[in-house]
Amino acid sequence: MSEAPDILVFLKRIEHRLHLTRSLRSVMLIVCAALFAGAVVRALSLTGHANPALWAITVLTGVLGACVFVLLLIKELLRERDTLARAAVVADTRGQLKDEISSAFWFMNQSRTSKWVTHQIDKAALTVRNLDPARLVPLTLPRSTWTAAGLALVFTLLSFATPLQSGLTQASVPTHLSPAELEKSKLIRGLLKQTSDKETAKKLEEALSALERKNATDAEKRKALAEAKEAVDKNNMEMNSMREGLTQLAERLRNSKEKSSTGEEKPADRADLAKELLDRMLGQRARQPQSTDLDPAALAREKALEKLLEQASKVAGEGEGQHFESAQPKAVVDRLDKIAQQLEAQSSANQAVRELTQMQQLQVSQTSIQSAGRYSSSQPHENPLSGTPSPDTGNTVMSGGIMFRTAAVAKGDKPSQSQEGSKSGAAAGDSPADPVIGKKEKALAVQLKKEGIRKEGKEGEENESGAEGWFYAESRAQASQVALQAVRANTRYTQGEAMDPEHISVKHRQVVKDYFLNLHENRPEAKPR
Amino acid sequence: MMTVSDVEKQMDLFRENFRTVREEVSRIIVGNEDNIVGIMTCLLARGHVLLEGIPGIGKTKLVQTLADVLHLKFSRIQFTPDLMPSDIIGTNMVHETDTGKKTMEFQRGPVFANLVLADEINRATPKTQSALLEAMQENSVSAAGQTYPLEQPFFVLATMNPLEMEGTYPLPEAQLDRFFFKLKLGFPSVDGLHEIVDRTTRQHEPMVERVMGQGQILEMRATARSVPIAKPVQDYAVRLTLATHPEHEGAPDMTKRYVRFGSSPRGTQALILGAKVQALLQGRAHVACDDIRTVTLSALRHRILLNFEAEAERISTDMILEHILDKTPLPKA
Repeated sequence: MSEAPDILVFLKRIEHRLHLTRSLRSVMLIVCAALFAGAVVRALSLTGHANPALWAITVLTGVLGACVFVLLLIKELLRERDTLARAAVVADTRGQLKDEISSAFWFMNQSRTSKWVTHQIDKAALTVRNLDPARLVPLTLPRSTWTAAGLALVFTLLSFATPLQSGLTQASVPTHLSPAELEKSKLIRGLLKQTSDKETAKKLEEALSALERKNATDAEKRKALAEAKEAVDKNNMEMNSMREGLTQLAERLRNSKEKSSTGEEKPADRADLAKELLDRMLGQRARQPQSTDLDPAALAREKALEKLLEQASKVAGEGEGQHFESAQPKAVVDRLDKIAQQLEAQSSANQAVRELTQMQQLQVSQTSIQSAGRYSSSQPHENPLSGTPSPDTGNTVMSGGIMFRTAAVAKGDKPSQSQEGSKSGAAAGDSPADPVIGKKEKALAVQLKKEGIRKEGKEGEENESGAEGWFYAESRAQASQVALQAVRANTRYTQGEAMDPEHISVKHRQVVKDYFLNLHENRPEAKPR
Repeated sequence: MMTVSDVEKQMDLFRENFRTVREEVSRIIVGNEDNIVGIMTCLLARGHVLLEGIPGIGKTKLVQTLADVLHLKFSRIQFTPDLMPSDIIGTNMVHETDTGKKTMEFQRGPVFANLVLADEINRATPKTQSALLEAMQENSVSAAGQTYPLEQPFFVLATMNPLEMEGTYPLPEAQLDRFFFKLKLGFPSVDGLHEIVDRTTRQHEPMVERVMGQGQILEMRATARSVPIAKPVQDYAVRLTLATHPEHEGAPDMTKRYVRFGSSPRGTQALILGAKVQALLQGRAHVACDDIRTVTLSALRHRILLNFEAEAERISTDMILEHILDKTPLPKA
């Protein structure tokens, strides 16, 4: 038993190192958990709701990781405590000592002893003298250190990463778009950055994404575009109400100016009044999504109002014996600036919608190549369009192409009421339309001639009104061209039918049929002797 | 008073004697090193051994060689279906004295020897097989109300053919449990076969010498029993035994599925004693878990009774024990 202290000292050193290793492992586990949590939080803040799939994956990863860390923590807590007996087992296992130390330790704790037990303890003591605890239980970094390093790297990368604005802004530039479409796309992206309303910007982005997507159907593109237009129109309505509010403000201020000239009201009161009205407007704005359509008249009115307010503040400052707070008109001007910014943003949104519409037209015109394939019924669902003219452009999107309104309608002399303010014209088609995209059209006057008819009625009435009934009939040249094309088309149709599908003309078909029907295997003929 | 150096001397002597016997036996027996060690372990742990193998692979030769090497009284019993218990243990016979007086005198059977070879034990009927029960367990024989002690060391080496063979009677469980180890003799390798042919087809076969006597064996037996074992290691042997019981909670799935009855406490005793001999052979004064693992198959394979499902699926007890060894954790602290 005299050797027992040596074994105990050895086991205590082993136990101490085990304890250190365990502490190191726990610390690294906590560091891993903290880094993982930080990385997940950062990833969530980066993705936001721009990409729901990515967001969901991040959340799922976070939940799974949390579960794993909780399990590891529980396992760490449930791990048996570091005791001398455990140190003996560890020494036996790592030193391949065949239970020598653990048996000796057990014998040392027993009251009964014998020469054999003493001999075993002495042998164990001799063994431990030749053992180095540092080699048996080296203080190395736990495996979780590598995990922590990896997580730290991920966390660092995420810290430097820029947030995902949306799937569209992060998406790479589609390669299948034509240069014109790419230019439009770039322009629209620029306009989208200026759009302040997130909802509208999102709709516009979706519409642009649909137009850029290669496999998007026409129906999807139209739907996305319609939703974007709807969002912008909604904001336009709100901005119209804001514009009306500005008009009212201007009138109220004008009236108060008249009162001030008669001494009934002071400039400071006018500024108060303007601030109150603007506050009310901005309060309405805060309750509703922002933006408005900016027309030149409204802009002019707003500038006039701003000027008026500045003048009012100057007058108030020069007035004798009148105390006027200079902050009051400044606040008004600030609010007007804010409104101007919103109007400008809405203007960008409107322009983006227009560009999107043009981009869609561009895509349709590019796909309307005149070919026999457009009459194919192989993909009838791709263009399930009616012949209804578009309310925006008057163009009729048909299977295989667009029938442009310019070629189908006559120009009116004066713009109608519904045409006013519209670039594309009214749906009725009585206004100048967009430039024709496609083949050059002949002037209508060449194709049609105006023929008059005499109205039946009383003779006196005709002279009074001076009106004569008239209609458009095809011109002689047009009639002859149409007839010629009909004849040519007939010939082409006949030829096409005749050759289809076996490439055998009609007049030869019976011959070919008879040949194959009477075709038999040839029997070898006997050679003539 | 024995000192520490005496312990070391005892251990050295034990190993030296053991090595001498093994080397001497190996002069005749080719290969089967593990089985020689197993037989010697049984002899030194006061057990008996059951050797199983197909005919002609040297079971009887191995035992005969061992008997030649050990300076002990040897007897051989060839078990046949018509063998009677009295043919083994002996019988009372009428003895006429010089005066003409007739008395009953016990005629000792072949069991009264130090080394008994029960050849092809499973060819005899269970009744005859059971005649060895008392001798193996109690080291005594009872006949006609008289008990006769057997001389020590008493060591039974039984050989048996695999049970699937014709004309065999399976040993009863009680009989099987009396055997300390059950050793399986496999077919020799190509090199081993060449060596066997070389040794046995020459004009002069190699001869062995008697290298160990009765006293040395008894001394080695005492040395083996002196080896201390720590409680955690002993606990490992107990857990292994319990793992063979299907009703035990910690039993592996394989045990629960295929085992009908697990090992008896004799199995644990065999594990511990066998491990002690193994520890001495390894030069250690303590028993390690590895020693217990080494003897587990030999000590427990004949103590496990399989169910019908295991028989149908040809699951052997060795497969179950290997599974148990895999699943039973070593002592942690």
